[in-house]
Amino acid sequence: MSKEITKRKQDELKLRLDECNAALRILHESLFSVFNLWKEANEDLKQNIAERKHAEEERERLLKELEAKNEELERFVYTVSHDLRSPLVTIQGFVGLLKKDVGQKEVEKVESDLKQIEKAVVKMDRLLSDTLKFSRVGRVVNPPEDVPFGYLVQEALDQTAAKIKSSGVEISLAADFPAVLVDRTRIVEVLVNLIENSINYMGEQSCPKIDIGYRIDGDSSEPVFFVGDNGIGIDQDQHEKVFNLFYQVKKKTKEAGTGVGLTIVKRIIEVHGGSV
Amino acid sequence: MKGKVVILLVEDEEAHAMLIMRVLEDAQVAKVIHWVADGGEALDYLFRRGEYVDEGKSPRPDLILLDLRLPKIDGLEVLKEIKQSEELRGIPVVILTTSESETDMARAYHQYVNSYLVKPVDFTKFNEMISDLGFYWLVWNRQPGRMKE
Repeated sequence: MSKEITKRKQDELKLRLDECNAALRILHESLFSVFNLWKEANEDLKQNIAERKHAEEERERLLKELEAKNEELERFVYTVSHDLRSPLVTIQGFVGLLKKDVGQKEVEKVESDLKQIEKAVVKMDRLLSDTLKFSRVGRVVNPPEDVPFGYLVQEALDQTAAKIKSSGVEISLAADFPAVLVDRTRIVEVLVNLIENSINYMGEQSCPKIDIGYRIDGDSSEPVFFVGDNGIGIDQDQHEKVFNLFYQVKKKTKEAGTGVGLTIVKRIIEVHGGSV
Repeated sequence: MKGKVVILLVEDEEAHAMLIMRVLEDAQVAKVIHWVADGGEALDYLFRRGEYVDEGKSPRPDLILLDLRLPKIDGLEVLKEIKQSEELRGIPVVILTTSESETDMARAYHQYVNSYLVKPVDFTKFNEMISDLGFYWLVWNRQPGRMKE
C-alpha cells in the first residue's frame, strides 16, 4: 500500500519536473530570442551612431570648407577693390594736375601727366583681365586626362617659345617624366606661369637657366615636379606672400605682370588636391 | 633745433607718390620729402640700417605717411615697429591708403596710428585732403623740439 503511494508520488514529481524543464526550456528560448533582439538593436544603434558621427564629421568638414571659401572670397573682394581703385586715384589725380599744367602752359609736365594717365589705364585693364582669368580657375574644370608629364612640359614650352628665345634662357629638361592624371589645360597653364615667372625675375643673370624636372622625396611615392631657375630668387619670408593675389615682391621699373600669375598657379594646384 | 620739415612717404605706387609729393610741394608745407617704396626700406630708413646707416641720409621725419599694402613688409607691420620703438613712437604716423576696410582701420588704431585717411578718387578732394593733412600736422600741430616757423 505505502509502496503504491510512493510510486504515485514519484510519478507526480517526475511529471512536475518535466513540466519545470519544459517551462525552463521555453524560458531559455525566449530569453535567447530577447537576447538576440537586444543584440540586433544594439548593432543597429552602433551603426546608427557611427553613421551619425560620420555625418557630423562630414558636416564639420563642409563647414570648414565653406568658411575657408568665404574667407578667400572676402580677401579676393578686398584685394580687387583696393587694387582697382588705385589706378583710378592716379588717373583722376593726373587729370587734375594736367588741367593746372595746361593752364600754366608747362609742356613738359603736361606730357608726363599724360604718360602717367596712360600707364594707369593700361594697368587697370591688365588688373581687370587678370581678375577675370583668376576667377575662371576654380570654375572651369576639364575632365582629368592620363598624360605623360613630358607632353605637358612640351606644350608649355611651345606656348612660351617666343619669350624663351628673346630672353636667351637655356632650358634643361629631365630625361623622362612619369605619367600624371590631370586637367591638362590647367597644368600647362601652371607651367607657363612658372616659366614666365622665372624669365621675368631672372635679374642680371649672364647665363640664365631654367631647369624642369621631378624628384621623389625619401619615403613618399609621389613625384615632386619643379620648375627651377638661377634668377633673383625669393627670400624665405616672402615664400607664402608671393602666392597672394596681385602681390609683388618688388616693384620693377620694366613692364611686367600684375602679380596674378603665382596666385593662379596655387589655385590650380589646390583644385587638383596638391600643394606648392 | 632743426629747421627743415621732413616727411617720410612710404608708398609703393610710384604715380601716387608723385601725386602726393606734388600736392605737398604746391602747398609749400614740407621742405624735404623722402620717398621709399616698400616697408623694408621704410624700416631701414627709420632704424638707420643698410643704406641709411648715415644719419645725414636719414633725417628724423616730422611726419610719416604710410600706405597699407606694401611689398616686403606690410604697412601695419611697419606701424607696429614704429610704435613699439621708444625712439620713434612720438612721430605722428598717418595711414594713407585706398582701403576702406573696417578691419584695416581697427588694426591700425589698435597699433596706435595717429590718423587714418582714405585716398579720395576725386582729385579736388585728394588735393584738399593732402594739403590739409600737411597743414594740420606740420603747421598747426606742435611737437617738442621743433621751432614754429
